[in-house]
Amino acid sequence: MARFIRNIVIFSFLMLVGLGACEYYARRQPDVYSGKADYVAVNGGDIETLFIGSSLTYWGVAPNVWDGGKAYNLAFNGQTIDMVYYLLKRRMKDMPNLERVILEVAYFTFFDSFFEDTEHWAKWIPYEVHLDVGRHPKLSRYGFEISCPSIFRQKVVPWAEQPLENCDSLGHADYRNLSVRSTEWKSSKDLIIQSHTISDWENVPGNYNYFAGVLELCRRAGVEVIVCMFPAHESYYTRIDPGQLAKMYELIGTLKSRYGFRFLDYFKDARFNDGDFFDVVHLNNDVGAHKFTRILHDDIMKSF
Amino acid sequence: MQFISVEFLLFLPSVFCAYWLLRRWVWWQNLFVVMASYMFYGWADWRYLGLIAGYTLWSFFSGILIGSSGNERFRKGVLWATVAVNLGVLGLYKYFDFFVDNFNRVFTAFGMPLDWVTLNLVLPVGISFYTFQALSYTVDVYRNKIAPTKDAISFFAFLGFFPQLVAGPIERADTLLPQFQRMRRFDYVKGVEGMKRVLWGIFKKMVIADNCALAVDYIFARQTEMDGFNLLTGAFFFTFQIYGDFSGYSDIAIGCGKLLGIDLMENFRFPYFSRNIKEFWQRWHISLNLWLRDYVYIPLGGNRKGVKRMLFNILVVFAISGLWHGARWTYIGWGLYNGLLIVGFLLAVMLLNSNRMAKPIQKMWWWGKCVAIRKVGVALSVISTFLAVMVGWVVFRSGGVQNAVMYLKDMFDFSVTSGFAYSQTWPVLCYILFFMAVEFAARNRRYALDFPSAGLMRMKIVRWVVFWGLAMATFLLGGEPCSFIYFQF
Repeated sequence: MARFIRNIVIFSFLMLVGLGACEYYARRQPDVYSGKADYVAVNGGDIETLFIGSSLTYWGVAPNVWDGGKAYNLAFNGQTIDMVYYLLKRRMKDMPNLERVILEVAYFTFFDSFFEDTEHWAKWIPYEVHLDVGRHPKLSRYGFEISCPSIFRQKVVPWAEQPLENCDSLGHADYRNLSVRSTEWKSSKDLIIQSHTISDWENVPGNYNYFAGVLELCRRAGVEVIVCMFPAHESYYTRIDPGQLAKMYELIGTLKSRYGFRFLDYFKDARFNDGDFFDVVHLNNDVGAHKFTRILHDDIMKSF
Repeated sequence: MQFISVEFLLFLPSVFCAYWLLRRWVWWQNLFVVMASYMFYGWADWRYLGLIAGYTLWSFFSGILIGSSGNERFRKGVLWATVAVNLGVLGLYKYFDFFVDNFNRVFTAFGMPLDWVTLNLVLPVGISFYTFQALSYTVDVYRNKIAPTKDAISFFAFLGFFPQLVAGPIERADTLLPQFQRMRRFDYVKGVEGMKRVLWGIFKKMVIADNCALAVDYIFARQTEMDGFNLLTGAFFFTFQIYGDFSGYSDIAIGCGKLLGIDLMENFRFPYFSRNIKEFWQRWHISLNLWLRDYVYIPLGGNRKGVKRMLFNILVVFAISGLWHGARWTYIGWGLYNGLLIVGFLLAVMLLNSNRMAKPIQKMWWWGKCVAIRKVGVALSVISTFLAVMVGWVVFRSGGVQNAVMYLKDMFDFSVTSGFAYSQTWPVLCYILFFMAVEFAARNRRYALDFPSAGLMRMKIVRWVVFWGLAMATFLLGGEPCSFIYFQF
């Protein structure tokens, strides 16, 4: 027995050494989380306009075409409204000159699962490691990159999964261009709609409170909030659940009457056509995002 | 609790240490096994602990009643009552909605809609496994194959032993129960074998099954858009997903058992190297197939009542095997398909052995003399068996019979309109290649990491490097973790 336990201990130690080496290596590989954290830490004082939300914003807003510069995209793939709240709460103080936040609202925003409740809770880990936003009660408190396999493996085993996502210097995704769009890009509509349509509305009150929390944070900091609904392809908005969409508009209406923000709705905007999308709900990074950012800029600025 | 989880990583070493600290007191050790097993089972949902405890008590007392009575009618009555209750509970949870739904459809089709309601009960994890294990005990006591135990704690440990509780192997009382009734001693060699089995099981689950699962989900979700080549790839990946998943679980279960000094039966013996379908079923899910042989096939008459009856019995057994996996027509179809393959194989063998065919075959005796021809023949038979099994897995995996038919139809048009649709196909193929190379090298040994005592593997440092490399590769290359497929059965 003693021999067995001794061997197990030695083997476990060797495993820890191996995993430690992996952690060390992974920490030194740049990713969108560390890149954005570094940018906000160093250049936070330059940011006047902040875009924040999920992949719709991450892919669909190009701050480099925002006239006057000083805009930054702090959105991430899969970033739900609770994560937006904690991220802003922690990072807003690093942006003392922030004038406006352009906050995404989508068909699914109020219905999503909270990150800590889902099987994807490990996605909190990069928030803990790089953005200093710790929330999840499980392993993320220890902040190991290796505990988030989906991102960790992209760094250490580049062939194993999707390549590590990257963004430009202003936080805009730059890997979903029109040239790499699948010829079958509309075919995934059913899967996307299915994942965005949530029959169980038990998270609505929680998400509503997080959304209100974001608005409250901005109000206290004297930052203007503009809530924006992103354009979607016709094959998406004609097939989604009208009940869920109506509920979303109802909640936005309630929040608007309480906080008085501007709401810009491009959801069914006919100016966006097939060439602007990467899939039925995301704008592509080169054409659609640039077009949308210009339109958004003009609409916001002309009202001043 | 899942085997592949942080909780289990803490659970197993804790159980291991406490278990061996109690090694001098068998009763307490067994009680500890029961407590640990119930904690393992109730981790995600404690509500079904009552169900498994009820099953265990019911089987325990029925065993005593059957064993202590000399009245045959009474013994038979208790046996049937036990079988009825066990299968009734299983049927209620697993099959009730399926049959009600189908009755409703059939009657509605004839213009007589029924208002029978479905129950939508959540299926308790592992119910099919421990129901069959409990049934085998009762039947064996009735057949006087084993004496009924009066040691309730041992019996609870036998039926609830956590490594094999939720997905087998389906153990027999005559092999597992005595192990709980005698004092266990820690055996270093057995412990090392246990660790090796656990390591290889985790590798199979995380690197093979979970990576294949991503590809399979991708392809099956888009089956109408895929060409024949990609559909074939999807079927190929699922063939390895289900093998890596289920045999990986069995390896971990057997390994955990060995760490606790308990030998569980082998459930897989390199099935994808089988030379015919009959051999495949002797190597795949062995514990279920032996169970069905002993408690269904033989009582139905087995091969004692003529060829026609034997073939019919085989089809019945395979239909039950399919239904055991779940209340879906695709599972029943998969079972019948395999039954038909076996029937076809047996008929072919009978035909070849008949007088009419024997002579021409004997004239070709020189075929067998040539080693190269023999090897090619073996390779072809292994490949054809593999392909036949793979077709069955498409039916098994599909969401419905119509989907399965469409999938197979499109797959067999062999169209190639593009390359691999799933972007990570090549890495996954490389993992499978490595996996099969290891299994091929070990096909004549007991398990994959059972290294020969000669050659390079004789050196401890080499073995340690291999184990360390495998463990690191598992961590680095594992796919998105997903639940074991057989948990749902």
